[in-house]
Amino acid sequence: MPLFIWRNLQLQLPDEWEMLRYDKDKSNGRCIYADRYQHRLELSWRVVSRPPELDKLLDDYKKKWAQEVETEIGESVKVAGWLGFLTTVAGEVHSHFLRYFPDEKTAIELIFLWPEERDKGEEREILTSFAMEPCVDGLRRWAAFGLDFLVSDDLDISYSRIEPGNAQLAFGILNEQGREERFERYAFLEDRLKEPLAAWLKHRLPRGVVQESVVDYTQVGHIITGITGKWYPNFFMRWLRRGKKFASYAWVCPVDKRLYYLHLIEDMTVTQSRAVGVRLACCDDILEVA
Amino acid sequence: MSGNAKPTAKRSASWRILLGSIPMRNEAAKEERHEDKSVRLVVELEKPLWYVPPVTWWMKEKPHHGWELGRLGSEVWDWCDDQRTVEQIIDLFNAQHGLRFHEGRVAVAQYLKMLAERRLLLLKPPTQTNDSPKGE
Repeated sequence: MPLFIWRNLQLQLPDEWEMLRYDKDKSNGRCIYADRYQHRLELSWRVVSRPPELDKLLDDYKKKWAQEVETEIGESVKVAGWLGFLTTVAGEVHSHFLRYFPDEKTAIELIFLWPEERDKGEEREILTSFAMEPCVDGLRRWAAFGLDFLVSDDLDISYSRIEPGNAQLAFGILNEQGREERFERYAFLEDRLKEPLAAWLKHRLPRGVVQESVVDYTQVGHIITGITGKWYPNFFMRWLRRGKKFASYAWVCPVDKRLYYLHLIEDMTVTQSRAVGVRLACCDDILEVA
Repeated sequence: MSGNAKPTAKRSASWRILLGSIPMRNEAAKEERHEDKSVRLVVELEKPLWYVPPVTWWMKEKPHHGWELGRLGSEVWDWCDDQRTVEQIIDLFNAQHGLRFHEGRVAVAQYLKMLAERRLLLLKPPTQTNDSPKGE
């Protein structure tokens, strides 16, 4: 089952389930996953200051659900450490689960929608797979929309654009103290990539970047083009020569034929090997070497 | 916890209807094919009252509307053969471009919407007795 990691929440879902809606807020939000015919799973999170009394919360939640939605409240269930209950809405069984993760002070709610019979095995497998993605050396892994990357944990998601075949996610803001990490993946290369990769990459340089070098190299059959340089927030900082390190890389993965792009603007030096395959990975081949 | 998550059964029902629908081409739409395989669709308008000699002496081309579909739109148009369902067209589109199902669904739905708004095709909904999206 493919792995999804959104914010600090990770779970494994059936191959056909895709994320259709997402919230970017770290403290409170919801994601919705669907198979090809309908929504199948709703994942909600909320950061709470102190541990909730789950039994009481569950009772309140049942009452609220019964009042607001025309539903029959069914039996209570406990699966793999999750407390839950069943409801029936318009003939469709929904299973609701709650759990509190103390390390992250986060309460999680999962609602499965079962258009046919409730699949207890699948439900258990998904609930068991749910975990909080740890932060390692200041980096946290995300995996969504075909992007699998590590982002600095102190940066918050600032931009997202998800379209058919295209996914763009950016973290951090480019103000005077700015840092930015951006990860992108594109399909329809006949339309998007009408020039050599180096020229395309050059056209993508963010405003304020002064290019210092261009590199071309091959990493496990992936031909990668990179640009390094300095980013200056304004002319004055450029005159003072107080810029930040900039690195961008782009390549077409020979496995999935998608164009991948990342750029990093930060204080630290990012080496080539740390960027491609570690900060952004396209396939298992490139992961193994990294 | 949140308590604001509403069931989505109503929304999913509409997906099934869309996916099981069959796009039917407007027979009045004539194709002009370009070298890059893209298609231009032309629909001749009813002859207006003013389209009489001497106007027709110098205006040889009959009044018409034309739409360039682009490469991807042309692919979708080609797959609309009055037989395939929307779901089957999405599967073809995804296989061609290596997309996930909902990526293709959004893209194909946009093209079909555009074509339907221009009355170049209409969507025939699945019949009551055959409500399976794949017609199984």
